[in-house]
Amino acid sequence: MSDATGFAALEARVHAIVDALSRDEVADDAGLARLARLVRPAHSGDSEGAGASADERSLARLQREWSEFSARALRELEEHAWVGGGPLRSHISAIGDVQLVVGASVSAAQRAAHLDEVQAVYAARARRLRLLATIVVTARRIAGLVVTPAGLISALPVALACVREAHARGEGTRADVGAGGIAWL
Amino acid sequence: MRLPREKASDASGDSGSPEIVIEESGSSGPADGIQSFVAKLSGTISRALDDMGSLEVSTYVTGDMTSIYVEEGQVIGAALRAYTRVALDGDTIVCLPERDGEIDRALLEIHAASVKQAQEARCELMRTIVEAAARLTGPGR
Repeated sequence: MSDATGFAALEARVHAIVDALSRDEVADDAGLARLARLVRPAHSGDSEGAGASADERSLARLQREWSEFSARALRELEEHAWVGGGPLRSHISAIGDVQLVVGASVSAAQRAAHLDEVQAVYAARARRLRLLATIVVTARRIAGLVVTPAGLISALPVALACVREAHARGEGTRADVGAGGIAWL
Repeated sequence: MRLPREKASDASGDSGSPEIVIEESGSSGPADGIQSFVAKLSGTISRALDDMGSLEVSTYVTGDMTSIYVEEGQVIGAALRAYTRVALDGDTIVCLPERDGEIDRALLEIHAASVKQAQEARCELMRTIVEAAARLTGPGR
């Protein structure tokens, strides 16, 4: 599957999740129910009890993850990168200018492997930019669903959670297992 | 082994690092942070577009891969052997590698492959930026 195709599938899953949240069709889906509680904690039925406290912790954790994630993602969009460790190394600027350093005796296989490594960096940058745009679009939809008191919750962290849930569904994993990491980016 | 001064994991672009995005706890609604983040992302995209007037690929050779690093945009510890600059309007400058008075074919092949890959990546990056910009400024999905 190409990067673009894979990303289109991820986006479709994200929008399906937000659609389900907007229709409140989450009862028999633990992952969606968890997201729904982030958007509408007052609907969870125990906003004064232990459940509400857990939701607040989840929101606080999401806020931290979003701050970390967004800072890193924006920084990486402007970073130079060194790629390769053998007789070929490329220094790639944020916009793709290349300074290629060639050592002694480079084989065809080493050349091909290096080009693959460089390609992976280019693809990761494009994917990162698409992902950030998807999070913004998702956050705009989420903002229309949030029913908590103003200022209590930002839509961007919840949008990140929705994208992560969509990614996990595509991978057949659970988004809330080890949710502190964002290694899938 | 001497590490490059700009490592893949923490090197910064010439334009400096963007500000860290932190949601304001006193924001007045769930959409407030979106506007702020879109502004930051748009700034990043604008800076990238400003620098996209041309594509440059430089190929260097060295006998000691452990001593190379980049300083003020220049590779230190290696000798420049080939250079290609392609402007947006298609104007192209190519400096070819030479060894003993003849074109160094092996190095030229590597350089040409890198140029081709960089051009394709630049096209893809442009396409991605245009798509992202449209989605950031547009109302829908």
